[in-house]
Amino acid sequence: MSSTETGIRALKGLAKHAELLVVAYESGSRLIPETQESEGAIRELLQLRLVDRQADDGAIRLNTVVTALLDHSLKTQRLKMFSADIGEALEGLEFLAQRYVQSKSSGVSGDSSKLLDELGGNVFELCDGLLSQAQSIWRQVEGDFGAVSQLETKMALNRNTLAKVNRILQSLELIDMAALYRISSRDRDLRKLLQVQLPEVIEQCRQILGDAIGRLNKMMFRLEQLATQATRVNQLVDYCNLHPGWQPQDYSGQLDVPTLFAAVKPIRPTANAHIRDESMELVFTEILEGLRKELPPDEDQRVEPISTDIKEQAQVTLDWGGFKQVVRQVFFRCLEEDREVSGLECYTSAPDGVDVELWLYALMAEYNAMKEEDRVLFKLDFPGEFDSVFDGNFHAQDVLLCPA
Amino acid sequence: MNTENQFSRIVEHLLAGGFICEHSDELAYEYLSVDTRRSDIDSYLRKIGRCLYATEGSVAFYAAYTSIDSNDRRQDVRSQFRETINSLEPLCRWLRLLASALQSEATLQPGDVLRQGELLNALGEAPALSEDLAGLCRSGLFYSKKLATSEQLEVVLAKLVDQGYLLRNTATGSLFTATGKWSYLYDVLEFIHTHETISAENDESREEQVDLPL
Repeated sequence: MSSTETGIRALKGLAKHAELLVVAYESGSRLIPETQESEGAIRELLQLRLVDRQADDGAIRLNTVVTALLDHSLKTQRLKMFSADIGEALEGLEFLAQRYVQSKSSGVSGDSSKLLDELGGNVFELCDGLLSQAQSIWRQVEGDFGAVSQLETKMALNRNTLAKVNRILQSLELIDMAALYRISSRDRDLRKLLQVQLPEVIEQCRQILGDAIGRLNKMMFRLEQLATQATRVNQLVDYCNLHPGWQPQDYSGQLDVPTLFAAVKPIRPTANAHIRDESMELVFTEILEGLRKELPPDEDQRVEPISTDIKEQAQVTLDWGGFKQVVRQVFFRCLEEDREVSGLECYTSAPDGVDVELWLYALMAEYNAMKEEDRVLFKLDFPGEFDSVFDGNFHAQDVLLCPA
Repeated sequence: MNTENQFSRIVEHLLAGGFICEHSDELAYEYLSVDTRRSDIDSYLRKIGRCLYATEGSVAFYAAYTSIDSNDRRQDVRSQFRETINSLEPLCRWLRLLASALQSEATLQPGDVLRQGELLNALGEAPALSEDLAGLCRSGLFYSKKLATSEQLEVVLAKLVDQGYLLRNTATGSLFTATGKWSYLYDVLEFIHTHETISAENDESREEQVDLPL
């Protein structure tokens, strides 16, 4: 059989079993189910080497050549399915480019010039659309989905954007660059548009979207981690509510203690001088000699007389600020109610921005600064405890203002 | 600070049972982020039967025993474990309370900043949360005789600072930063979730509750 006859036989075989092949292609698995009806067709397709029998499971699968042929034929159709805008724009570009080539070869320069202008405009529009779509997605990702604070919503937005990015990337993947290269190969202006400008933008978009995918995946991982941690916390609390006194098994008693529970017991580093160590004698002697030799620093005092003349000054009345007023109110309250008032308890009346320490110090300062005859009306008390190690330190936990 | 000082400071901190994260000690954390330096510290610790260990995602570093080959060491590990487990429930209750007060779906994370005033306001507006706080202070890790919510909050925050979970902002005193030690707690929770049957029983209990007739 000649090669021509073999080729014709193969193409006829394709046409005869077209439906079976396309169904297998569309199924995604590329497998042809072996039934009684398909038995003859499969035999014929195997003879024509259009399908292969898998060595491992014996399944009938479409040959890679047939798959590639269908991939190529359905490219534009699938591109339209993924992104109607891109698909249609590219179809328009191909059409205009072909018309331009035709009109240029027929020598109608006016037409070709108009067609080239239109083509340039369309390429610009497509590039602009692609870039702005990619940049808008990137802005969304970079802005961490704006003001959305709910974890669940953020995860949903993340998933949605990820699907969108994948869709655009698949669309870009389906653009038949070879066809555009073919059309534009013989014309310098076309090459500039279809072999330089458009591929550059497509590459730029791929770059942006690739980065966006990386960022989105990282963000998704973190969001899922946060959600899992919150779930674990809630699970444990709920479980403890249902089983009061529950404790996990003693992992520290196992032969192989998990590293997580093998954290070291704190060692408190201490240092003592070896005063009886003879080798240290020289060092200690030098220290002592050094101490004796150390003279008090010379003080060079210069006295500059300060004028004691008091110039006449206008009397200024200082207004009490809001903070002082609020502090004094606490003292009034103590007198009015004739009971002890806790500084922490009345912290709620402190002006905004004043932290608790400042508030307590203000109470003490007011007490210390008041006139003697006023001060005798009050007594300050500091409940707290002495430090367990440095018993010279007293940790006050509150300031109690009591009537004297 | 030179490298030698940094090295000894980090080793001493780790041996004292400390956790090193970028929020508690940025310099030390940066030091440990360099592979060669981290391996230097690890080698040094291994000579004395310890090793350098990191929580999930290397959020915090701490020292752990390489082997439990003596009774003393086993005793140490046991007491550490007991301490960790005993504080687990109160810490989780606190995390849940905090998330509810701050209306956040996520629990506290290393680097998060807590404002005492904001928390106090949130607790003031939600009596149920104040009751939860009071419950938390009735026993265990946060035990306190204080009755006022503000005092109880102060006790809890002070305890968390003491345990190394929070850092008190020295400038204001009422701002706190969460440290990487929380990541250790989350690791423990994950471990328990993997090895114990907590969630499954929870689900069963919930189903049982739903099926009860009114």
